[in-house]
Amino acid sequence: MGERLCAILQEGTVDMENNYTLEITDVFKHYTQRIKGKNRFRSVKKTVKAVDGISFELKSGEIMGIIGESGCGKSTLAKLLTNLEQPTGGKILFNGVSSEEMLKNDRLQYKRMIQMVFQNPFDTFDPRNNIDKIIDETLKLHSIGKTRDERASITQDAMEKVGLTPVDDYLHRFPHELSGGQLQRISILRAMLLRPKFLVADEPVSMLDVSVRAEIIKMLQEQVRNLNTALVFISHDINTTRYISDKIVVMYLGRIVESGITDSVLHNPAHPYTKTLISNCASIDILEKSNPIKIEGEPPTPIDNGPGCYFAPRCYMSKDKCFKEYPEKTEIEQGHFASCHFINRDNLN
Amino acid sequence: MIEIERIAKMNKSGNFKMKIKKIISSINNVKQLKAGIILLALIILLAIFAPLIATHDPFELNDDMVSPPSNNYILGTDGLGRDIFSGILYGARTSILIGVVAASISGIMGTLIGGISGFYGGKIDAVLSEVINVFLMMPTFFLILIIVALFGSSMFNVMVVIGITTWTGNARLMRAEALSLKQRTFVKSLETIGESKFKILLKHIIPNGIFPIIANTTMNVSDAILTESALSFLGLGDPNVMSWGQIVYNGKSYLTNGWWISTFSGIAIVLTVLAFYLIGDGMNNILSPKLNSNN
Amino acid sequence: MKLLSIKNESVVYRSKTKNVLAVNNVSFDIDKQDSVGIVGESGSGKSTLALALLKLLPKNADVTGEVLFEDKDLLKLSTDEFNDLRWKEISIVFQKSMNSLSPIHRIGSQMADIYTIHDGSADSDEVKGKIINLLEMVNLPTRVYTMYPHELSGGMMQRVSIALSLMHNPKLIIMDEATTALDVITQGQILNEIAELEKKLKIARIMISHDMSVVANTCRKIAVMYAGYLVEFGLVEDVILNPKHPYTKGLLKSFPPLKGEKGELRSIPGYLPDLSIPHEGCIFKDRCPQKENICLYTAPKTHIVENGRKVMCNFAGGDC
Repeated sequence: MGERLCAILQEGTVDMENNYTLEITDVFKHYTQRIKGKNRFRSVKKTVKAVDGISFELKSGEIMGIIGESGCGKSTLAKLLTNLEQPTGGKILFNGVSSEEMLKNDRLQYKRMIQMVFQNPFDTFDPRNNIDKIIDETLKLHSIGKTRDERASITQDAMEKVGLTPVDDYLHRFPHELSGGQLQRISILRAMLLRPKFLVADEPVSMLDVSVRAEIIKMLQEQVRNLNTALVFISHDINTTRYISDKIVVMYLGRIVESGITDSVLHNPAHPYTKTLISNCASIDILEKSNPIKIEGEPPTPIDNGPGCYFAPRCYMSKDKCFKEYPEKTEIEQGHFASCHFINRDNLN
Repeated sequence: MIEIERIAKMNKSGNFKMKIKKIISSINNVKQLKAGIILLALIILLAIFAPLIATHDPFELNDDMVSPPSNNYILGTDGLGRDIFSGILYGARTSILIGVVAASISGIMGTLIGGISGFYGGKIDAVLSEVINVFLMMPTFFLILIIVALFGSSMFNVMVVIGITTWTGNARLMRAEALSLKQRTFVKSLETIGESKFKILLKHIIPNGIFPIIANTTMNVSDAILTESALSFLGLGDPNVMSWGQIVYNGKSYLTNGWWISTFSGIAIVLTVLAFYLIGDGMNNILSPKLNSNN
Repeated sequence: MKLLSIKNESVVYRSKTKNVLAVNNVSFDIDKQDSVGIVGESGSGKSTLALALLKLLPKNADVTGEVLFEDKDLLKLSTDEFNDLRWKEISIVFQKSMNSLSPIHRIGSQMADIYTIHDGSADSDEVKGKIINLLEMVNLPTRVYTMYPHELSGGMMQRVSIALSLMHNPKLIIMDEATTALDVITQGQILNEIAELEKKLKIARIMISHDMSVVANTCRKIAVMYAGYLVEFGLVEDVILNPKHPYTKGLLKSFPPLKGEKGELRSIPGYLPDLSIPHEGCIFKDRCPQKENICLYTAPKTHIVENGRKVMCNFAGGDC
């Protein structure tokens, strides 16, 4: 363990041969919240299980999409991965070394292991600093470039490579002077300057105009390919997630209900929630007759769920068993898993 | 609508000259601020050029005692023959100095304590909030009296004591700002980049949340000046230093036959406090329209 | 039969320093029980266009042109005449409805209040009955009547807004990004419910959205706006399957498909021009892949192609 730790903490340029694996096992994040009980004057303590037992593995160069609706825990998961919040339980391992250990030893090294791109590009930067200062600060913090001039030339290089030219035009501007697309590109650029092995993109294009999204998606793909970074792409937009991801994970109320290779999951969904989600997606293709699966009730909150399947109360094919036992993870085809009691291989789609 | 304006702004470059122009135009737009700054500028100029403008040495004991305003003594003399006009000019220095230093101490302490409390949250916030509550409970003026009575009434003591008893307002303001700024994306972004919490507080939270504190501090300056005047009026001021409060104190016994002694020094206090108040109010005006208008 | 006829509507936001031309000479018609989707990105003027119809723009907005609602020019009505019309004949549903209701009053009483503003004649029992009816119409349980806004989910709040808009049986509803902030599944539910309501109550709808797929699936006609101009208008099938304006084509290519080949995801390079500066030629020229010399100097006219189709391009008439 010690040797592996040393190997990871070693400074040096990124070795393309060096492959990293992110392994998260049974990670959960529970919050306590006080909610108005039946008696108006007393509030009851409830546990919000934002993330409730997530496990997956991600290797260098892979792009994994996470889809799900609000309340499913995908944003909380993003925060757990990047240490903005600490998990209540479970393990997050980078090449076998836990994130806690890495942070204890060298916090900055952890930050170079995993970086994040946020949903709101307009608020990603301190409004009082210009782009030059913002990037310079980051490089200085990680001792990338020994002098101001060296850092300036690294910045110049990087910005030219991604097409943010003329560079001087951007460096002197303040965040409120730039468009969402430009800001998001700078955000990705800044994260990638640290050469992270993993990048988490939390709804990176949902606040951008449709005509601008493609540039950002392409930039993510390119950056990730160039440095063999692994990408976790979180989104509620299934179409875009399908475009960029190699594999995909569907979350519902803090758990993974289905996972596998992207087109496998999206074209042959096995879990009723996935099927409902996909069928309700409005599509540009108006020739295709959509038959949205009707679903009753409101999107629930991750409180007091179970003991059975979390989706049972709204599922169109739930039976008694579904309310009593949480379904096991079943393999449907190679690499494609779903947690449902009633997966019939013949019933697929 | 907002998007269109952003894009329009994008096409301009933000340089230094334009920033100054913006500041000047926003000052001009708010009448209170303009009036306050002009008045304050006047007072500061008088204080700076006191040696040139003053007609006499303020401590000099002239022969004409309790003499009314005349050509020789523009605002008259006090019971010991000291020229009031010169006294007021030199007193301006004292008052402004005390006001600014005390308010600065209060501002710095309040900003740090409030910022740490709001930003770090948790147990630290719980403890510091109680500390703030304790200070809030104290009757500050009596505390000031006690400390001055115990430790003496030098200008230094007065400044420090006012500073450490009035920081709570700033602390509450900064704590509120820190609590709200904590949730902003750029703060989380700085955390993921690797910036330490303390540096984020100093370099990003405090600069972004400082504006209401600045507005509050200007009012604190006028409060400090008033407090110092009150202390001097009660005879607890520093007798070696010429201050407006001292002059008012000196004029107490001559209210009927030497009305000019307390009156003009009193007016000086009022005008100065007014100037700071206008500035603070004007700054608050700039802060709130930003939140409300469609501009 | 024409319900609403917009002719040359323009909106200018005036300020001390500049004038922003947010909507530029837009014309199109809506029939009874028709549904028109207005799509466009931020800065396109789609919201401004619709809000102008209901006089909901700030004071510094100058609205010109003619908006004929059943032969009455909305822009020329007096305040009283207009208040009679607003909410009774034309109503609106906004995006984040959570913010448009008072957080400290119950839903039922707020709805009743709104009802009596426009119709003071009914007594309180009648009004309550009407409200409960409305709640049922939008698939909300009766208990919502006694709940507070913060106790409802986003989807439920939007349904309350829709109920409010249907209160006086309007002939036209404007939905301004009404489903944008909602989850996919909730959005799907609400869009279905709206379609059913429309059939039942025979209402016409203007649906404003930046999401073309929402409009494509729920509207009969589509209006594509860019930088304040109406660049394309027509039946949804026609425009989506056979787009004629380069901007429409560009937008459609920006949506990655769910099935089939992934193809290349395209974006439209460049950004929106500054609408406070008068421009020469076509507004889209800086970003158009099909631009030619003529586009730099000649402002394109709106050509009317078959089937009521409109295209604002120098190369329409033929194929763009």
